[in-house]
Amino acid sequence: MRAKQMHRLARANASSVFRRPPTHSRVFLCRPSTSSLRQLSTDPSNSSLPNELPESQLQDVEAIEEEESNHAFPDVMKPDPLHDDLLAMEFPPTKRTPHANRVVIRSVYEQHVNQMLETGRPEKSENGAEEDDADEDGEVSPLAHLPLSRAALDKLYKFQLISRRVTQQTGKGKIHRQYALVVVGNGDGLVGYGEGKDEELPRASDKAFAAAVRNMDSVERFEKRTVWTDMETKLGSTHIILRPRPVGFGLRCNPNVHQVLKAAGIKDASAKVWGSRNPLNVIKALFRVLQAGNAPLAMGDGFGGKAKKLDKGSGLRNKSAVERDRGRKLLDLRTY
Amino acid sequence: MPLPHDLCARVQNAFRARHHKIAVDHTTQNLGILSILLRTGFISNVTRGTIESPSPTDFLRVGEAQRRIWAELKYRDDRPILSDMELISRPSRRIFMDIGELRRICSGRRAQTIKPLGMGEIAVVRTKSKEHEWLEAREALQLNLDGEVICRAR
Repeated sequence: MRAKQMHRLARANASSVFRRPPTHSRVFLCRPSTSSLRQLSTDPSNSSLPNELPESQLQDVEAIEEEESNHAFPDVMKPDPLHDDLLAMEFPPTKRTPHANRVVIRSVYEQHVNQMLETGRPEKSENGAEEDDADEDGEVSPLAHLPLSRAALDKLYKFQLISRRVTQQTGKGKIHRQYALVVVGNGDGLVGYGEGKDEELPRASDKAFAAAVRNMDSVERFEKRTVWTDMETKLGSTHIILRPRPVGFGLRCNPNVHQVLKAAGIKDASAKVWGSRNPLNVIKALFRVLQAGNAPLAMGDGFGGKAKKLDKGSGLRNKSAVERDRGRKLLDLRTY
Repeated sequence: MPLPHDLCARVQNAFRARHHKIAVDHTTQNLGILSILLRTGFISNVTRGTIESPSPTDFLRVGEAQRRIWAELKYRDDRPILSDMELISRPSRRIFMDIGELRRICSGRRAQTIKPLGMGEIAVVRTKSKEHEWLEAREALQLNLDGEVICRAR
């Protein structure tokens, strides 16, 4: 209650500048008046310009100019009731808080401020009430705050590649959860994978989907259908090679690789996985070879930190990038 | 004559250690291979010089043992332009290719257990021609010359 008393004191002492926001606020047009434009452009007396307006439109322009001259540009030297209101609250030092404090609230609306001081929580805006994202349990859906709209999310290609039960052993017993790995892509050069864990598999899958959407990154493609060159990588015991193939070849590869390439929009490729075919490592190795080039500075020079295993490699570079590096054109040698 | 492996190792290691310039022995082999790297854009400068510095005038004054060829290395976007340079034809197993086989490795198919050249990859071919002894694989195809495939770089 001290803050409220202070607030009243401040008002009484008139040490704060506070005014109610005006009921009729003036709306200023954003575009400049045509008369000011005319001054910057060529002399209007030279009427041989091709963009001179016809007479009927000239009259409309004059009407607009007259209206605009009534709404002059705001004089920024004078305080504006809408934008320059502020509430300043002074708190002198006390025994417990030995320093003087000053709180300045700039977006002032008196009712909100009073409510905030009483309840200690910001009041929800009355106009355009936002959707209450929390459901009955107070949890927010993982799909709530993604950067894409619902329509855009529905268009994405998603596939759940791994689902299994994972266990945390505690002193009081085993805690089982469901784990899901989902790969998401727009079918046109963007792909990402995400992992999620929850008691129930559908919710874990939703969490994984949200994580995958946030992790989406671009993939360079040749003719928007295949990779540029043979690429191979080894992650642990998983050795994978990816090769470009001609039109109509299709994706002839490991099923996990197939789904990732399909989500990325790669239509023709051949791949082989040697050694361990553990799905998680296959997916990680594939993403490393497809997307590593997007973060070339994670090389572990000691500047910026240690290298990360999943950022290794020069990644996919397209022909123009290589040409720019070398300063030469690459010869196209087709023998068919 | 020192093996081409010496040049491949020096160039690759210098790129990985982010050196500005390297000095290699002055031989026609090194000159030929470095010229190919210069033509294809892996290095930016090839100069004759001495052990001390890449100075063509000093090169003329010193003896054969102090002569070197200097190459200036290229980097872009915090990455070396050349990441790997390795031998194809080794002393233990020499690789000679004819025109057909050269065409195969240049166009993405395997020839004689040699993997095809990827995008941006080059191969150095040593031919029997006096005029054009050291060529890149695609140049050899255009000039219709075959020979020993020495090394590859990417």
